Parts: sequence; C-alpha cells; structure tokens
Amino acid sequence: MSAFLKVENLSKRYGDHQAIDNISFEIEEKKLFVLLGPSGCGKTTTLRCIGGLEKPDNGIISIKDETISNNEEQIFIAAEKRGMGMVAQSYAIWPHMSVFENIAFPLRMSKFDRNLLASRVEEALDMVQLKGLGTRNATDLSGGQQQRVALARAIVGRPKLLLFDEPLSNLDAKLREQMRYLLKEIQTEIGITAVYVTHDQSEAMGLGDELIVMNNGKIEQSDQAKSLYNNPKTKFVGEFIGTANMIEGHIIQKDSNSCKISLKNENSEQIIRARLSHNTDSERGVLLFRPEWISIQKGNNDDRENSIDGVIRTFQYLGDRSELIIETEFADIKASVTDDEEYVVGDKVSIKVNKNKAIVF
Amino acid sequence: MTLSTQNTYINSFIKNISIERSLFWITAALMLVAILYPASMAIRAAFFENDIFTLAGFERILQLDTIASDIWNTLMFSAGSMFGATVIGVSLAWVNARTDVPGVKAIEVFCVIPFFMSAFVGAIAWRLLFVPNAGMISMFLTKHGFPEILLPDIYSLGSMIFIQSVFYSPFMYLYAVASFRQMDPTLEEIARIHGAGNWNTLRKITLSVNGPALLSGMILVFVMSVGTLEVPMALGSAGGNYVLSTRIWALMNNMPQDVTAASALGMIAILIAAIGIIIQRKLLGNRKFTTVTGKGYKSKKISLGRWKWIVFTLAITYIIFAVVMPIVTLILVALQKFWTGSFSMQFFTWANFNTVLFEYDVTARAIKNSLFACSVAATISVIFALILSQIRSRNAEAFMGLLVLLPIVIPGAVFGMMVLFAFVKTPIYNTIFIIIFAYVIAYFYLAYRTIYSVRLSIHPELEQSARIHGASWFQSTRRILTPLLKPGIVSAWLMSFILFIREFSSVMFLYRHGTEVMPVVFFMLMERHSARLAAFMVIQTAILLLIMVIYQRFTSKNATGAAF
Repeated sequence: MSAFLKVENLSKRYGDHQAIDNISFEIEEKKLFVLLGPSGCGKTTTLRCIGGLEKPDNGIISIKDETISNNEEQIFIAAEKRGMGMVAQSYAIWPHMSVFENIAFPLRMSKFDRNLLASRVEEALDMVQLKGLGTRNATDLSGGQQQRVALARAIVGRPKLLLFDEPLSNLDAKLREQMRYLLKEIQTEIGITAVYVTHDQSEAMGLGDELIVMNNGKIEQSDQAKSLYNNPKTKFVGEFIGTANMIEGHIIQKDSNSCKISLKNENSEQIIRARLSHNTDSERGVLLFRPEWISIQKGNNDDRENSIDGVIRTFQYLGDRSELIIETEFADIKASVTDDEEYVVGDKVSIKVNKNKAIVF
Repeated sequence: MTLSTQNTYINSFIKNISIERSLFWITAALMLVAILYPASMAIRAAFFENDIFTLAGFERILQLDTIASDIWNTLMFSAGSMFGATVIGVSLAWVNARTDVPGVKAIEVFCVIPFFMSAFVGAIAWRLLFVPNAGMISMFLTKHGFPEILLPDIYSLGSMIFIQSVFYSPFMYLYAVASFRQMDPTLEEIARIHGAGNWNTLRKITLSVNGPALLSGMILVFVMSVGTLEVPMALGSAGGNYVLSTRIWALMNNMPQDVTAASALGMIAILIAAIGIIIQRKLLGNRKFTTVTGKGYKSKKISLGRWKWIVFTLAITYIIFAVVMPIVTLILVALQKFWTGSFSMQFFTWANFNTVLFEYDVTARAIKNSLFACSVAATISVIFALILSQIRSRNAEAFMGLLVLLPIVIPGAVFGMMVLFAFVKTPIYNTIFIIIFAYVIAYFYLAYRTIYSVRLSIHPELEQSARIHGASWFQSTRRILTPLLKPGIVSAWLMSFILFIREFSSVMFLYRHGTEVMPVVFFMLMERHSARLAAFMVIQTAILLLIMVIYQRFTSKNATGAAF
C-alpha cells in the first residue's frame, strides 16, 4: 500500500534548540498514527508542521503525492488551505459561539451548501453523542462535552487528515478512557487518517495502529504497540514504554542475537543469558527486563541458571496480579506475577529471568 | 491546652476578623458617601432653587439656541473619538501582541505615552502646528504653495475627534493588548486549520472573542470623552464648537453664573453616558468568555511577511503623531522669546524655563501644588485600596464592583462640578484638599484594581498559616501581606500619581487663587503666552516621563493591563 502522508527529512530549530532533527516517516490511509514521547521531544512540533502552524526549516511533507510543504521548492501551503481537522489539548472551543456554530465553522469556511449544513452538523453532534445540545452556549458545557464538540468540529468537514494534539490530557482518568473508545470508533467508522500526539503511553498503545516514539527531535522507533513493548530497539524505548528493570553489566559472550551479561559487584557475580539488541558493540551493556518477564522461586533453589537471589521488600496483591519489589545485590527489582502464591516480606527468593524475553542493550 | 486558653484563642481570632471586616466596611461606606453625597448635591442643584423644587434650569437650557448643537457635538465628538481610539488602539494592540512586527518592545512603550501626556497638552501642541497663519506646519505648507483651503481646520469638530482619538487610543490599547495576550492562541490556530484565513480569523475569532473586553474599553473612552474638557477647551471653544462639558464650565464660570442650568446640563451629560453604558450592556448580554487554557504552547506570532515594514511604518507614524511631534513642537516653542509660528535662532532663549520655574509665582506655585496634591492623593488611594482589597467575599466584591464603577460612569467635568457643590459651604472649599478629594475618588478604581489583582495572586494559605502560627491580623498584614504586595503598591502609587498630575477636567472647577495645579495654569496661559505655556508643558511632560520610566522599572507591563 502506498503512503498517504509522507514526511521526509523534516527539521525545525528554535534558536539553539533542535526541535525536530531530520525525521522521515509514512502513514497509510485510514490508519491512526501516534507520535509518542516525553515533553519537548518534538512530537507536537511535528504535528504543527503537518498542520501548517509551523514552517519547517527543511524537509518535504506531502499528502497523496501532493506536496504541502517543501523548503527547497519554497512550497508552503497555508494551514487554512490544507483541508485538515484538528483537536487541541485546550479544546479551543470558541466561547462566543454556540455549540452548533462551533461545529459549523469549518463548513462555513469551505462554503458548504447552506441547505445541507444543518443536517451535517446534527450528524456530527450525533456521532459524538451530543445530540440536541446544538443551541447550548459552548462554554456552558463540561470539559468532556467540550472535547466532544472539538471532535465533532474536526470531523464535520471530512478532512483529509485529522490532527490530535494531546486531546485527552485535560480530562480526568475515567472520561479519558470513554473518549478513547469514542475517538477510535469514530475514526474507524468514517475511515479517516489521523495523526495523534501524546505523552501517555497507554493512550498511545490503545489507540495507535502504528506508533512512533520520539526523543530529542529524533525517531527512536516506529512500530506497532506490541513490538514496541516486547522488542524495544533502544534503551529509551524500553524504558519509556511500560515498566522496565535495568541493570548494568559486562557482556562476556555474544552471538548474532543472544548474549551473556555478567552482573558484578564486590561480593558476587551472576551471569544472565538474554537477547542481544543488535545495536550494541561495546563491552558494557544494560540488561532490561519487564516485571512479568521473570518467575519467582521461593527459598534456596538448585536451579541457578539465569537467576538472581534477593529478599522480598514489598508485596502488593492487586487481584489480577501481585507486584513485588525484591532487593538484590545489584538493584531493586520490580516483579509482577499472576500466581496466587503468598509472598511474605523478608522471605528469600530467587528471580529467574526469561532469557527469551530479556534484552541487553 | 485547657478549654479557657482555647477560648481566648478563638475569641482573639473573632476579634481580629471583626477588626478586618469593620475596617473594610467603614472605609467602603466612606467611599460610597464620598461619591453619592456630591452626586446628590448635583441632583439637588439641578432641581432646586432656593430650596424650592423647580425645572427652571432645564427650561433655561432648552431656551439656549446652542443646546441642540451642543448635544449634537457631544454625541459626534464622543462617538467619533470612541471609534477612532478603538481603531488605532486595537490595531496597535493586535500588531504588538500577535504579529512579528520589528521593534515591538520600543513601540509598546511609546504606545501608552500619549494618554499620560494628556490630550490637553497634545491638543495645544497640534494647535501650535496647525493654527491658521501662525502654525508651524500650516505656515510652512502655505509658504511652499500648498493651497490654504486644503489645510485642516484645527478648530473643527473633525480635528477635535482626530486628536481625542489619537490621545485616548492608549486606553483602548491597554484594554485590547491585555485581552489579546490572555487569549488562548489555540483558538486562532484551530480556526486556521479549519479553513479560516488571516482576515476571517481576525474578524470571526480574535475580535469576537475579545469583544467584551474591547466593548468595555470603548464605553469608557465614550464616557471620558463626554466629560472631558481637554480637547474641547484647547480647540473647540476657540472654534466655536462647544460640547456639553465646555458649556457647563462656561455656565459655571462666566458671568452671569447659572448653577441650576449648569447642573441640569450635567444631568443631560450623565444621561448620554448612561445611554452609552446601557447600549454596551445590551450588546454584551451576559456573555462572559472564560476559556480553558492548555499547556500554553508558546504562541506563534502571525508572520506578516512583506507587510511587516508597512505595519511597522504605520505604528511609527502613530508614535510620530502622538508623541514625537507634540514633544518636539513644545520644546521648539519653549525655546523662543515669543512665538511667531516658526522657529528662529534669533529669538532663541532659555528664559521661559527660568520664568515658569522660578519667577512667575503662579507657575512655581502650581508645580508645588501639583506635586503635593498628587503625592498625598496617591498615598491615600493606595492605603484605601489596601484596606478594601482585604476582604474576599461575594458581598464585598459586589459592593466594590459598584464602588469603583460609579465614578467612572460620571463624566469628568460633571464630577468636578459635583465635588464643588459638595464642599462649597465647608472650609475645605478654599483649600487644595478639595482637589485631592477629587483625585482620589475619580481614579480610585485604578489603585484598587492594581492592588486587588496582585492580592488575588497571593494564596490565602500564606496568611492563614501566619495566623495559625500566632500572628494577629495586623501582624500578618504587616509581615506577610505587605511585603508580597509591595510591587502592586509601588505601581498603584506611581500610576495614580501619573493620572492625577495630568487630570484637567475636574480640577478646572475646583481650583481657587493659591490652589492652582499645573493643568489649570496651562489653561490660564493658553491664550496669553504660547512660549511660556510650552515651557511649562515641557516641564510637566518631563516629570511624567520620569515617573513612567520609574514605573516601567518597577512593574511588568501586565500590571498596567490588569489595572485598567
């Protein structure tokens, strides 16, 4: 399938700060594409460049082979001529207009047929489950409702591309989850391509057909949620997505995709076998494994392979799983287990790291 | 802790609270009386002669053949100035707040100077430039073959509106710029994304969202224009274009004096102002535009592209018209032995400054009077504002809203007359304290809003924790609150001082021999000695600019916006 939105060698600098550093990616039609990263990583700037709110310093942006921004050819289509829709973090509901007028705005700007306008707005209101609220004053609505109005406004004109700039981060946790489902449903239903910026990884993983993790203006990894979680390509991604235990050590043996890493301090040494992230050449390495990539064995155990000894420091039973923090010679390790075993604080245990999952960077 | 010590704690707490509250309500009541008593005296003066109810005053003003043209002129002058000031002020505010015009910081400083310089000073300077046969520019142009007929008539109503607009636009500017800066820029960006170009975004979003704030500023310019004596006296009276305020002043000061008719005219001026306010309220409805702001992505200023330098030139043109030309004119005129309409080295002299500062007793006295009255009034304003910004309850805030609004809606000249009526039979009448009283009441809203907005930003927990740790109300106010409020206090004092020293319309009713303040002497010198007048105006402008520099150093620009 050919790419719908294409970003090539995009760069943007603010003074000394390189906000976007030569990034390229492609998005397929009708997919929801997430830009994920910590604040200041360049994700919002990227979105704004796509929307035409920022002028890139370099690079090409095109939709369906139509160039909307190209520095070399001095093409920069103005934001209002790009035919996009956008939902902003602050809702950006115009306070001087009714709900209806807010939603009708994109249609009025595109000289939409007046006779069909009202029904089109009603349809959008219906889609975001705000039927009958059109005459209300926009600012009289609750935060969640305002966010729905913003969504209706963004989709009413059937834009080529829908832009989301952290749309849910001003909502409380429960609303956020509801909106997430609604948003995904609407996006799939009307079959619109969307770029979604967020720093919330569970939001990103839940929504995104495809995700890009950004850091310091660069792309760390572009993948589907599952791969990002299970096969992070960089230490940053491993740490940023989900929870990770990280222990430094020396790589003592390696082949194409697995290795042995030695964890060492003055008292003891432990060798752990794990997968090798392909971009490691140095001797020093960092072992990364998630809390559920281990199994816990109580008491002294003869099976010493890939195991680290420790003492249980905290234990929390959470219903579907139990979470523990285990103090070891090398680090405090977070563990998550789904068995119904009783763990007592102070007990000696050994942690067996799953060699097919743990990764060394 | 025993029960009795606990009780004394509670008792002292209650006692402290009541001190705080009673201080508030006593001061507030005093302020209210200080406004309502003069107002009631003016109403009385309009409807009673020798303690008998009469409409004779209204009958007499209706018999004046000028009444229709006075009212017409007032309406044209006030409405025209309101629109003129709005166009200039809002454009400058938009350019400074939302676009990438070069030199924003410098433009910004100059944009507010004209208001503080006072429209009277501005009008006199423009008069010196364009007065027929003796104006610096008009003479220059006619000498070089410019047809006399095309020269603007500086005494015309159109010129009055133009100059009033130029010198009151900073007021609109401050209202608009604060509002533009507070607006979430995403509101505009989302409009852009959804298909609105620059023009539609400006019209349908920026101006509409800021509409309520702009409307409030507009109505204030309207009311101030209804009540001002500045431009109408400097230009209108000479050209025979009277407005209500100048007519009221003439009725009060020319022989035969007619207090009843003047008061009746004052009622008409108040009515016009009130109608303006009612229209504004109607337009406003009950819209209050509160918006949720997000993470505050640094708003990208609108790129003007090749328009940048055109806009820059327009802004500079305004500054030249409103600041540079008036000041340069006054300095040139002040440096002449006598003014002939053009500057000549032959008549160069420093003597005018010497005369007005040291030799001429009225001017020397006026400087002293002004500095004294303005300092005392500014200090009183700040103390009252401190007391009145203490209480944060719904009742207190509603009351204060009313209290600060009342003097604003009374046109300045009418206000001066009211204060005169209130004190005419008391010993204060012949002293400078009547002027101090007028200063404090007329501009109290400014000191109050400045201190109150700083007060709001101080979290109540800061004081509460002081109280919990044993400080009395007085101690916590002195040790916690006052230091935190210090920037607000300084800026409120300086800003009040600046507004007082340039206040013209009300003091024209209140001075007596010996209590003249500087603007009064401007008026006295106006038709007598242009060069000395110019020298005296240069001195006042220098004092004002000096204080403005101090003010700029002490406060951020936002404090100014908040005060208005």
